[in-house]
Amino acid sequence: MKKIKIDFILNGVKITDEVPANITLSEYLRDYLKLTGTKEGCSKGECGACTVIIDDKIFDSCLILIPEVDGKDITTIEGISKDDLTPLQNSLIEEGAFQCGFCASGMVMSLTNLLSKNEKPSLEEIRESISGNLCRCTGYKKIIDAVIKLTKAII
Amino acid sequence: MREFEYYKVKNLKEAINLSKKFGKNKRFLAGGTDLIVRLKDNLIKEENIIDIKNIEELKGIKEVEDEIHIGSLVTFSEIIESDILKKYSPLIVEASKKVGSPQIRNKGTIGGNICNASPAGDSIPPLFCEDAKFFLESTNGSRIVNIEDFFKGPGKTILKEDEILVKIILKKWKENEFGFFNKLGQRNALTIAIASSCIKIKKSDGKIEDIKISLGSVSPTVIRAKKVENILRGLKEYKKDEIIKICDEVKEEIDPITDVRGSREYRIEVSKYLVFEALNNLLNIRG
Amino acid sequence: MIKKIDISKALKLNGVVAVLTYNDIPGLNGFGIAIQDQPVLCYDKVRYIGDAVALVACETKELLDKAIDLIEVEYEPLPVVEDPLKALEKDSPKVHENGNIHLHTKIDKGDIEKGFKEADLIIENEYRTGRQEHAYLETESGFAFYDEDEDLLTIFCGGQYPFRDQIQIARVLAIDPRKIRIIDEPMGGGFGGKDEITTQIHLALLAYHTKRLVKMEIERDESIVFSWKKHPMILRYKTGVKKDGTLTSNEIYIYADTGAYASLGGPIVNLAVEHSCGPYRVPNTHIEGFCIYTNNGVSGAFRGFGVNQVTFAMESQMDEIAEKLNMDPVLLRRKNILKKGDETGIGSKIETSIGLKKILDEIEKHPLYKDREKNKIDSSEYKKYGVGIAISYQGTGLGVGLPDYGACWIEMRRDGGFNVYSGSVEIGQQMKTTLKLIALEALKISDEDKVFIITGDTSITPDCGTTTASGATYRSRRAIEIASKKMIDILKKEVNEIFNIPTDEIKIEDGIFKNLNDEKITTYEDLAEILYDKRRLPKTEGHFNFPTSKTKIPGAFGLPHYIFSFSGAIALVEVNILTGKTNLIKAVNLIDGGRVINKIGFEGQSEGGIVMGMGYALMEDVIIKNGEFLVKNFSTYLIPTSMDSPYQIETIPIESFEELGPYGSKGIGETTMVPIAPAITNAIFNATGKRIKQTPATPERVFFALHKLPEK
Repeated sequence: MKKIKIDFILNGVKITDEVPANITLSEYLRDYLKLTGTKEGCSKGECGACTVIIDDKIFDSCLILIPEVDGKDITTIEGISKDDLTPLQNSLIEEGAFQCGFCASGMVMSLTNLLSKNEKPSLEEIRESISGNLCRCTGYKKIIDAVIKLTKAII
Repeated sequence: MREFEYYKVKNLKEAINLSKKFGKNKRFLAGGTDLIVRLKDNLIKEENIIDIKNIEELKGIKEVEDEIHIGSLVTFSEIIESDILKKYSPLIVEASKKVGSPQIRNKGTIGGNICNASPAGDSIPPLFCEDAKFFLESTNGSRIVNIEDFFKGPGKTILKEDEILVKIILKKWKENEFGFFNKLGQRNALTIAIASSCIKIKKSDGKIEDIKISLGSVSPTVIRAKKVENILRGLKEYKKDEIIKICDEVKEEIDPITDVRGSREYRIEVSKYLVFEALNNLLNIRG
Repeated sequence: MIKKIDISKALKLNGVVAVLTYNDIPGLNGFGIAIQDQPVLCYDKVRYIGDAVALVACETKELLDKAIDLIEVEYEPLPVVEDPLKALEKDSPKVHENGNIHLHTKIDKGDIEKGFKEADLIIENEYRTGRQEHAYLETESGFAFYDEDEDLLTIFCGGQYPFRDQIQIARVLAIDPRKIRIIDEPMGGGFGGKDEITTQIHLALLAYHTKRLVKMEIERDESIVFSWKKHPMILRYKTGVKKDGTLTSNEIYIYADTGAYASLGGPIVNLAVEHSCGPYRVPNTHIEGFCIYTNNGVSGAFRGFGVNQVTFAMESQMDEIAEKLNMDPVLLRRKNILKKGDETGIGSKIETSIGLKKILDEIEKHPLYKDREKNKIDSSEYKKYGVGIAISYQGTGLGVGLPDYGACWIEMRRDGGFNVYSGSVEIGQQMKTTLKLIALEALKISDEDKVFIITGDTSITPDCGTTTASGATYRSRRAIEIASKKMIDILKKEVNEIFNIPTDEIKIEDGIFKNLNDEKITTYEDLAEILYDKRRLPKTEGHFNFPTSKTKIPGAFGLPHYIFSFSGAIALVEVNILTGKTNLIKAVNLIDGGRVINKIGFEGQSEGGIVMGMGYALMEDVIIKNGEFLVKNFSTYLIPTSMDSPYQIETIPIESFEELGPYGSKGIGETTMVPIAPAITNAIFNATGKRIKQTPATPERVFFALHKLPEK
């Protein structure tokens, strides 16, 4: 298949590549770049495990055709923190927010994006922000509590 | 995912010319939330994908005198955040909040939702209540069609092979207008409607001066319940039993299917209550 | 029926590495935990739509679809066995040659006729439960490679029992199990769905034939179709009760749809039979359980293991009895709950700890229950609130006659820390954290960095039984305790030799050896250095057999269980009576899992159990018609989102001390989920006066319970 040229920023690094158009961003991240922190749970935009941030908004990377990323600024879970974990990540760990961990990177992306726009989100805003991220092990409560605990600390 | 030819176009003219060239053998990529799923499921036979995302003419929400123009590439998130729409056309804002998930709303477009012509498209019932007009453009020039003339069946519209939906035209709300959108899903997020109802009412002196009722997921296309509208128009007293009886008439206007979300029988029976529930939110109905 | 399989065209496609069929299986073409009735690759018949016929390996993922399209299989359609009740009829087509009944268990206790004669009220109902999918977020996937130099086949794949997977693969490949290494973790959720072998045999076959690194990922819509589900059951209950609320008799028929193959269907039906009367004294019972083959996918192990279904039925019965007798639901249960020494519904004595009374005490004083009428005043005209309760119990461990054991190896490291090897698997239940906490306590140190937990690898860890039946923590914990005690004894002996202090005068506090005057003798670090120099760093082993009942129930393999966990739930729901849509607003889980070791993990299991139970109650069902899956992805198979799950969730531990359990604890993985569904449907009754006898209680089912369908 004919290859398409793409130019974009990934976790602060400029990427230029030539790839077939019929792959998705999640496939590109996992199979081409071996950035396997982004998980794929359904590949149809129904579970949010593959959530990434593009130009300050969250997207299911399984529903992004690779040519669509041209010119975009993308952050994946690998780009969320440099050396240490972020306060959000630490709070999630302290609360025991995850069990199997498969939804974790998607959750972190959605919540990081929420907090970047809203320092003190309400309970409803937190629930809404992860309504596209399925979790099967927890009851979402500890995930939400981790954010509540953290944002109270921000005051 | 199956193979295809990918084209990225920069403006409307280029898109129209290219689609003229490919005729039926093409698909437009706007938000892609539906198209990419279908590509993965091998449900797309067309070999050419035209990416229209970079067409400026299809973007933005604008006030034009007493109208609002919504570009077909406007996403649900943009609709939800639009001060213009919040002020002048809140029903489409409410309906957009019910679409999928935050991730889907950031990507899915109103034009895509309309052109997919699903009877379950969340943005469509409010557009019926608004008497929306669609601005279409093709190699033969442009035309404006009424929403009621646009849909032909599930997945079917009057769009010609080289025609593109450019924008949606709505009339601004007046002061005495109210509305309510009601989506019944099996769960509270990430869900496709079992049925939905949307009502817009114009009141004067406590009387229903005008009313528009639309229903989703209960017929091959979103429909207006005009019989019920006609009975309700002019009504002054809102008694529960009478209103429920009037809502029962909606059965005559719908033709639902049975699927995994709900049976035909359920959709027929629940539709009247969805209309009633919406009315109950708008009128002071007494028991 | 398979008439012909032609793979020649697919083999010719450039980039296709291998196409395997039943011809390429060197050993047994069958798998299954209990009996090996499921073909690895079908040869005569396809019994459900998820059966495997051919196995294809390509150089790229993109080529796979093309190659699969080129495989020609000629089928002759057979009649579909769809309804488990019809499958029992004599003239039904047979799924397997020996008929459609995989297992039939029948238990009588007391005199059922006498029981019904004594009863003042008899409640008779039929219940049906949905086909729940585990919906672990990570689908079955893994990779395998064959090392020719070592003659070793290595398979990385999420599973729940690496040693059993190893044997299942060895049988199929007809090779020595020692030449197979299984590494089972980490994995994105199990819930029982990865207890049966999933992709491991297929991975092994491909690696064995191609001698290449093979990767396999099951897509979501394949996963839902091929994988095991919670058994849908038809449950017929006839319960007799005296005016004062004393249960007299229970006549129960359980019909379980196990789908095309047995997997764990037999033990699941037996567990359903065992728990079918709930945690109550019922003197006279007649219980029959049928495990029935159909062409409806496959059913198998799933959190609750048959107990969800019977608890839904029995707790609905209890709610109806309370209503008919105009009796407080807690009081009715108090009258009948099992006490130590009582017989369960199948006539086995419970001799271990029971936290039921405490659970009922807590329910009774909880504001959600106590003020339930006050809570209902908040209802609007079209939204009705209701509160429901349910209690349940769940046997921990596999039961009588089944090998159920734990094992652990501990070695001291040169830095004074310890490596702890356990065969249990981290399946997303915080196993490793829990094991670490246990080891720290048993080895008398607090520094978390000093204990390394190594699990789930057949080549380096001991066989520790399966990570299932809420018993993995329990099994491993016991083994760790035993191995740790041996380790401590050895270390004290070494200190005795080196420092000449009698062992009974040595105590250990946080890795420091002290004498009776609290003076430091040495530390783990320093001792380890000395022992390393002497090449004497100690290693110990701990083995533990899961306690089982001394008596067996005739005709019911595996029954009874010996140790039980108990739980109760309170649910507050809101029912939209215009549409039938139900929301769970608040939920309380009361769990007797013995002493709590890992508080966060305990709450995590409970909260997850509530939400999974809520999905079971309200929305989850894999609908199959005529053998076809109408539900096969996450847009039609719906699990609760953050907008559906209540934020107001409370977990109350009821710590009844279990003497047999190390540190007094029991298992909780399953029992956290079991009472949720009936608590919710009982709450729907409380809100609307309508009883939902079929799960899930979808908007449609609730709607038609509330609004009669007009006659045509």
